[in-house]
Amino acid sequence: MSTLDVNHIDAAHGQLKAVHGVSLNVAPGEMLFLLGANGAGKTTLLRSIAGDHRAYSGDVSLAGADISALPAHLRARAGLALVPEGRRLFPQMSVRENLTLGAATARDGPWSVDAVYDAFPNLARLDRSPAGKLSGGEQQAVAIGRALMGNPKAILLDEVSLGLSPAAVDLAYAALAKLREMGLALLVVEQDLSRALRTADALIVMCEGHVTLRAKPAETSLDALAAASFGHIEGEAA
Amino acid sequence: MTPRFQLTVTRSSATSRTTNGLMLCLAVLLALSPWLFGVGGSARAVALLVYVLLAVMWNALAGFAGLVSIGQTLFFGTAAYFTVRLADAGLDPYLAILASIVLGAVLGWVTSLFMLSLKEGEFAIGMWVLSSLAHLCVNLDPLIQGETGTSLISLNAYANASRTSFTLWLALAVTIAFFVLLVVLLRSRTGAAITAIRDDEAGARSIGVDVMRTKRTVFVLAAAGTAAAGALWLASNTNFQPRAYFGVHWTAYMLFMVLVGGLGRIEGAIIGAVLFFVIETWFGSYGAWYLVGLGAIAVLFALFLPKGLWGWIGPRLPGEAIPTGYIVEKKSR
Amino acid sequence: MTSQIINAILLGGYYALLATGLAFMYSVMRIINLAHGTLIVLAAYALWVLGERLSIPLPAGIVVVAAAMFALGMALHHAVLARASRGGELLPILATFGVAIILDNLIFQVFGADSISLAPLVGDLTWASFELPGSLFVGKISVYILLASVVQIGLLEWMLRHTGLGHRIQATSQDRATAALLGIDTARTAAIATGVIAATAMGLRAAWGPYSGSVQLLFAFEAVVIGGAGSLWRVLTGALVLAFAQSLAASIHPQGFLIGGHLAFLAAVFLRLRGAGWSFTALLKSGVRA
Repeated sequence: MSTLDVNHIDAAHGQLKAVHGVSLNVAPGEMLFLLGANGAGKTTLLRSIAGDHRAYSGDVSLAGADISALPAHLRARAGLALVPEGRRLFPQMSVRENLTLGAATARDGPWSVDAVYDAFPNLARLDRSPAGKLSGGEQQAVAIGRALMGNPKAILLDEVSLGLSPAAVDLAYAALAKLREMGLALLVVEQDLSRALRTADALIVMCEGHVTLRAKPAETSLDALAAASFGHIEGEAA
Repeated sequence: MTPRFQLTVTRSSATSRTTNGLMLCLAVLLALSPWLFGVGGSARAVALLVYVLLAVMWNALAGFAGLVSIGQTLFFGTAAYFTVRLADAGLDPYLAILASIVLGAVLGWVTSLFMLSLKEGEFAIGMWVLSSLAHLCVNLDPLIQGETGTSLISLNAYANASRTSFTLWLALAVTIAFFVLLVVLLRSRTGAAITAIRDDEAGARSIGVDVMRTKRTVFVLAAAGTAAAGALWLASNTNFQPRAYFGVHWTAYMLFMVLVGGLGRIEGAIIGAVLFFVIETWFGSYGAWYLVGLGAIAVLFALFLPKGLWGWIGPRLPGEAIPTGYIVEKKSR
Repeated sequence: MTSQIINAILLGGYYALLATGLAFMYSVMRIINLAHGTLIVLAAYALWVLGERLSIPLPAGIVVVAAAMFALGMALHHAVLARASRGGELLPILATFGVAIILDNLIFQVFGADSISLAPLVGDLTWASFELPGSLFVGKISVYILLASVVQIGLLEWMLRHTGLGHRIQATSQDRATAALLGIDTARTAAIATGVIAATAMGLRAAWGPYSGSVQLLFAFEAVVIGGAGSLWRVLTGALVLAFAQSLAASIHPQGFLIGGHLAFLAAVFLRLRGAGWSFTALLKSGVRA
């Protein structure tokens, strides 16, 4: 059984339809990559799944339970975490305070501030620093840590590597690999196609709100991913 | 190859033609009320026109420019005061009314220079502070004698019956003038900008709409219109007691009319004003309970029917009653 | 002269007490509660009823009224604010103004137009005063009110910075969407905040009438604008400036008291504009901080 089941999500910004009937599912311990050019509807899809944006049709289940009707904060309490684009930390609060806010889901589980510091050792010495003063990589670590503090079953990550140094990206993905081993379901939005191809268990490419490609890394290539990003649907004549 | 269909672009529709006819009938009826309803009826007709003016102007401000003001009594009260002052200085009272409308527009322009920098709620109460300040300053004028007030004595130069008729016709002319001015403004380029701001201010700014200039235009128009309402109210009631003009109950009336009629639609404001006029005629004597009822209805509309009555009626009619946009029709050849 | 300054400071303490709730609610919910002044007046009437009619001692009355105002604040939040704030930025202003109109006139219907004072409930304390060197006398109540406002601001600031609830309130106020994504019930957090405010919004004044709410709201609002956003301590500064401006104007002209306060508010608005690059042409062009 999948941890996260998303069925036929339609979402729009006003009159402008951004996501057309997208379905996907993520199994425990699976890392699904969502790819596509800017404006493909990836962020809107993620926000719709998390309840931050109201989809006008489609449903979302978490570990078999339908959470479609729940507002964002109850989806978070059900065990679905979103690490938003741009991290969205609270810049004046310290690292510890930011992490502690993540525990507002009141879910039982292995995660605590100390456990996050074990997973991201570079954060421990920044304990009291205001989150706004951290580097991009450190902020991304806090954002992931904050999501973990809620002891989620599934994590959605938007633009993980955006604005990070290559070393910081490696660190972030090393952490994600550990979470995958722990059995979390991970849905990752990424711009770096080759990184996705190396790391993913499965890939979905979107263009203009539609899914243009679904594949396992072994079955596809960089060229196919790039073509799908620009709307070329596999199987159609060129 | 000829196209298989043609597009016609029009503003007019059966609904708008009916509305035009209805409004013309209403205007003629109001103009004839000295003969139809006598002196008392004419005074009530002025009240109705003042309510329409207040509602349409407050709606323009809140519904179109997104500026909720709790202190439009600033213009209502000062215009009445200016009229008293100018008439006292020897100007004909009717000319004094017209001059006060101009002064209201000037006051609006000056006020807009600094008040429009305040955000939503700050602007709302900030206007209230200004209104309160104007009220206090007016009270200091020896002519007014604090809350005792004075009256527009020079109106007595006109015989009672002809005075009421003059006031009514002036009120009708001024209301129609402001109404036409608003519709023309909404149909102009500025109108397109107003609609854009109403729908999405940040979006409007990003496509190059000069948000501040547009808001200022609406603000000054609303100031002048509200000033006209104040001066006309004075002409109809002759007594000027500051509290009766700067009082917060006027804001409650404006809020009621616009929320019940429909925020953001001229039709809604007019319906709200007419409805308020009827309610006031029937229940106005209930004092504080009447205000409790008005407040409660306004809050219920804000919470459960935020688009007001017109938000419910409007979409059920073909076309717009008072068209400011266009209808594009596709006809097959 | 010295006594005028001291009295202005004490009056500022009273304004700070009024304004803290308004500022706190604004910082949490981004809503200016136009019924704030009216709720304060309502709480004062409730104290008067408990004390005068039911002979309940004032301290017990305060506890009861605080609890009742907390409940009323929660109810208002659920019935009005939560729904209104979903409909954009304008509706909460309109809705809270409507609530103020309703309550003002209900109070008038129930209690009539007479001015009322809590003075009989505190007995001799009304006249009691501290003697300062130079045979200056300052009223004890005013001093207690100033102390109460400092304690209130101190407690709220401490709560915001050092407790879990405070952090959740800050998170909600800074970024509502992200707070919700973390599982914070933003509506409930805001409701608690509103309740706390309504409960703290109580002023012991000499006398008031059914329509005093709007004046209280204007004082509170002016103190907040003059003080500027940021920390609640700035509210205290704003309240002191307001009180000084009023006292100064009152010494110039017998009816200048309120005018002085309003002018101080205008001056604060102008100063803010100046911070955005003061020049007349800039004003004409846009004149706003983006």
